[in-house]
Amino acid sequence: MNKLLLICLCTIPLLVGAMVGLTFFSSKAKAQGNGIFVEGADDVSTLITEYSADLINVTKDVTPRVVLEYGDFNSKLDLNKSDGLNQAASIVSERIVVEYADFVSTYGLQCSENLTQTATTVKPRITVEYADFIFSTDLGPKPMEDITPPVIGIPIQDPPPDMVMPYQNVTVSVNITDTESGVKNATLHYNINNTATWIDAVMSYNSTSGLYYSMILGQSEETYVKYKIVAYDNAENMAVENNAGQYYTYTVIPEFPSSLILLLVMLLSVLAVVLAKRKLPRKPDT
Amino acid sequence: MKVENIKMKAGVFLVAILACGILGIYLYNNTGGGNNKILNEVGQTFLLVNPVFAQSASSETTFLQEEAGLSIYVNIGRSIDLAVAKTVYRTIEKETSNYTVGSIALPGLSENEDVHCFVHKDGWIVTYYLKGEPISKIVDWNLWSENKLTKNKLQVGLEQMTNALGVVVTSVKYYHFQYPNANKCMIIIETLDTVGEDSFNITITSELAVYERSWSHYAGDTTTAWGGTTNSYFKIDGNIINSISGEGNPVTKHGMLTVTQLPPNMAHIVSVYNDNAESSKPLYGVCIALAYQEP
Repeated sequence: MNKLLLICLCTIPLLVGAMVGLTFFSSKAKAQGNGIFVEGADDVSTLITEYSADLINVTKDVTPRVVLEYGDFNSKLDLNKSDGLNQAASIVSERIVVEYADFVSTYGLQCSENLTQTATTVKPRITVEYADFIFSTDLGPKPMEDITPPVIGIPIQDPPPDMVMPYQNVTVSVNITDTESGVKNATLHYNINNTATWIDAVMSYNSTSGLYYSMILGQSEETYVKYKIVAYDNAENMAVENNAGQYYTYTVIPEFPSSLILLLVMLLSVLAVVLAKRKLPRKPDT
Repeated sequence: MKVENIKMKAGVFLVAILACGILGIYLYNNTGGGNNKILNEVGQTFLLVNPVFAQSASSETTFLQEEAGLSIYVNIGRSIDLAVAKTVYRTIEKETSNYTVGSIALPGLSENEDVHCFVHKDGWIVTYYLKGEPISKIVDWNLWSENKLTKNKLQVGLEQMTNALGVVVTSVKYYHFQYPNANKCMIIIETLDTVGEDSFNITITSELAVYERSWSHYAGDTTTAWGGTTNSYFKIDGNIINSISGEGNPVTKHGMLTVTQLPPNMAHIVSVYNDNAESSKPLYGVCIALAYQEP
């Protein structure tokens, strides 16, 4: 009778634990690995490389050409056009022509971005002939004018992506710097369940920690959240930190993680068995 | 005995369940199941602070916008001791806690050829000529060597400042405060070292917005050994724009060209002329400088 009771005492919690584990742990575990949600094809994050349609068209039609300019002396422009460039090149005209100068300085500028359309996007070039020496320079940007966007570090999420409970607010902190004009503002943009709407949360600077903070409001169980950070400096340069286009993500897990339940049940079972075995009086040998 | 065993086992079981419950609650709270403690503690101390330089930069760029024309500049990447910078100036023109401005004397040139220099404690050095002065003024004919202009006056001035500060500058940028829309600057030089005339041709298309056409004319010697004078001319399409005749040795002049003197969409002949056959400094030169906007 005692043996039977002991066996029951051991097996029932194990059984309960196994059932709980099989019920919850197997499915929820998928949502806990570094915030990468892999359940369901629609939710799988992938690297997206963006090509503009115009660029694709252009690169198909552009073929290599040779432009000879600015020899030591008696240099001339020679434009070998591909068929695709015939129309564009016919519209290209010389902007400044200098001949027979002892000292001339210039740059050859040909930076077409969209040659298939028309020559409107072909930047003018400067051709110099018969020159000994050339000097030319770009003007700008203005001194002390900040053209460098802020630098955004890797955000720190609290709680971590695999430990966000239902309706638990999530704090995101990040280091943002701008050595020239300084950081003007930073915003956390987050999205719920891949909907079209992005929610903006202004990030606040903490002078003690030197970090910018914001909060994502608590969401219900199973909610998939992705977020990115956008910062501007005082020269209106913008920087975006979106984890190389994949965003920072997490999925809200059940209030009691199934793994924890399973672990506790197992521990409890072992504990109960040990205690029971110690306290049971031995039957006297007959 | 049986009753006691059952009671004991039931007790053990209850204790285990109780322990499990306590452990569960403890772990739940520590994994963030309740309200986040970190957020509550730091959430009230957030501040937005702008760096000091960002707040003051506009006043300094405003100063340069009002004062400067063609400029060459660099940020040396570290703070500058303004007291050291001041030692380079011939004349201190302005001083604030953030920056100083002064004139820098150039080797072998008179005071009116001095470049101006703005030095900011945050590492910025801007060397410039004043607004309204021609771009061609940066040409220092003394630095014409082996058929090329080795440096210009702004570079020399900047170099003096960086040498004093103990830094080596490898990359500089140009900007013209008077023409914020100009994105290109070009200098074309023709020289002559004998009696006669030499020229180059230039055509400027009307598609370019040209903000400035300026010139510099240099004559190494326009006197003779017998006390006579000779002539050096700077011409465009045969028209004399400037002449230098017996005014000292050497002489450099510069000025602005009007659109009618160098109109677009026409090929122009720019020439330098010298009739001094006795010159011991046989360099005569002309420079055309353009500031324009490339679309």
